[in-house]
Amino acid sequence: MQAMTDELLSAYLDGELDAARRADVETAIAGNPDTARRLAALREADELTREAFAAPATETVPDALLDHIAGTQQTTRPAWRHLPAWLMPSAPVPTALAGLAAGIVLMLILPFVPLSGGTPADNPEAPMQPRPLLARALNTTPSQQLFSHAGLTVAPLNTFRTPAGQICREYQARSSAQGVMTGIACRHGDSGWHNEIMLSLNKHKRGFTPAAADGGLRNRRKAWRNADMLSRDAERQLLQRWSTQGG
Amino acid sequence: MPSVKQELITLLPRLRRYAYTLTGSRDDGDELVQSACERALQKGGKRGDAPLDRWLMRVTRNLWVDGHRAHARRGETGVDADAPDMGFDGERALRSATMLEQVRTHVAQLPQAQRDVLALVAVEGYSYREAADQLDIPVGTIMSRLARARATLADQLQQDKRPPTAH
Repeated sequence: MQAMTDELLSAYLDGELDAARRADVETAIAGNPDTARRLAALREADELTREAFAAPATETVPDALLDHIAGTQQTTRPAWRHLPAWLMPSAPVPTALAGLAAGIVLMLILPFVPLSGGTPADNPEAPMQPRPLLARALNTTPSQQLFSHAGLTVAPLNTFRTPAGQICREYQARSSAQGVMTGIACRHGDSGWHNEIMLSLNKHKRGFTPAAADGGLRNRRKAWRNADMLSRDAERQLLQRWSTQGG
Repeated sequence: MPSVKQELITLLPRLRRYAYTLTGSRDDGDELVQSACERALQKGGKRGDAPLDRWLMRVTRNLWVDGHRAHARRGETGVDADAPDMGFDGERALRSATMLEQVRTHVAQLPQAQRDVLALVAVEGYSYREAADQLDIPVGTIMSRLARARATLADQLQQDKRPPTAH
């Protein structure tokens, strides 16, 4: 019989051995006091380890943590699951914005995204004006629903009011030419929608952005949480108004 | 169907335990859980087919490992030396708080790779297969790291039991 290594004894403790090797171990324990002692020592180490870290699993979760999670949830959209797969971005905009603040994803910003119909060459100072189709989508389509027309699909994700009182919508768009992008457009009074930020999601790597303990990132998230997400009802009222007045 | 957030909240106790094992500190653990939840909520439904618990643990571990590397780059040890404020209930006190404190210290001194496996299998109760999938390493590696971790802990506990001086 082979020697009883720690590896075998440890796997025996975990119930990870097949019947034959389990029998080997049991024979060894019965016949060799040293093996039995070693197994007992490993078992004790195992039990103590479990016990040493057990406390959080049986305690009440601290309010601070729950509060934080409740706060974080406001920045997410609950209905991801019924959106098409391309709408599940590797970087939802709050993350993207946070990255922006931290200077992480600057390279992903497309300064003159052709989705915008404005001509920066004519007037570089003008905010990017979404092309009419996108504006139409933002004027008429409730959050979490799809607008699809002439090769452009737009999904408004949510509608919010900035602390300054401006109404903005986060959306994703896919066009055959541009691929998938995400953006935030805000309404500027009667002049309609202006893109505040657009990010291409085409090349964005999957996975998590580095855990940069960056103050800017946290502040940006905090600022984002100060934006008021509009309820479905409030959004519907706005959509009704916008659809009649155009954008 | 419960929302991701609701599911996540029911998993918090386990997640906090996992983070505690990884970091060796209650405070660091909770901070890690907080960052991981933030990250997870902002990722929306991006986890594919992975069960939420394992996905969250993966997020947690990735954040921890990333943070750990940052620590290492700055020349810090990464081992948390603060004394956790433990509240034991009666049953838990079967073994002395001192002994458990020693165990936590020993675990914190294990190599990160061993602690990873110990946290998933010994503390969280995942199978070797599940832990291997989670960490993207072979089952044999899980087995050997776990055995080394337990052997080290067992040896250290034996030493702890020997009083340094006779009373």
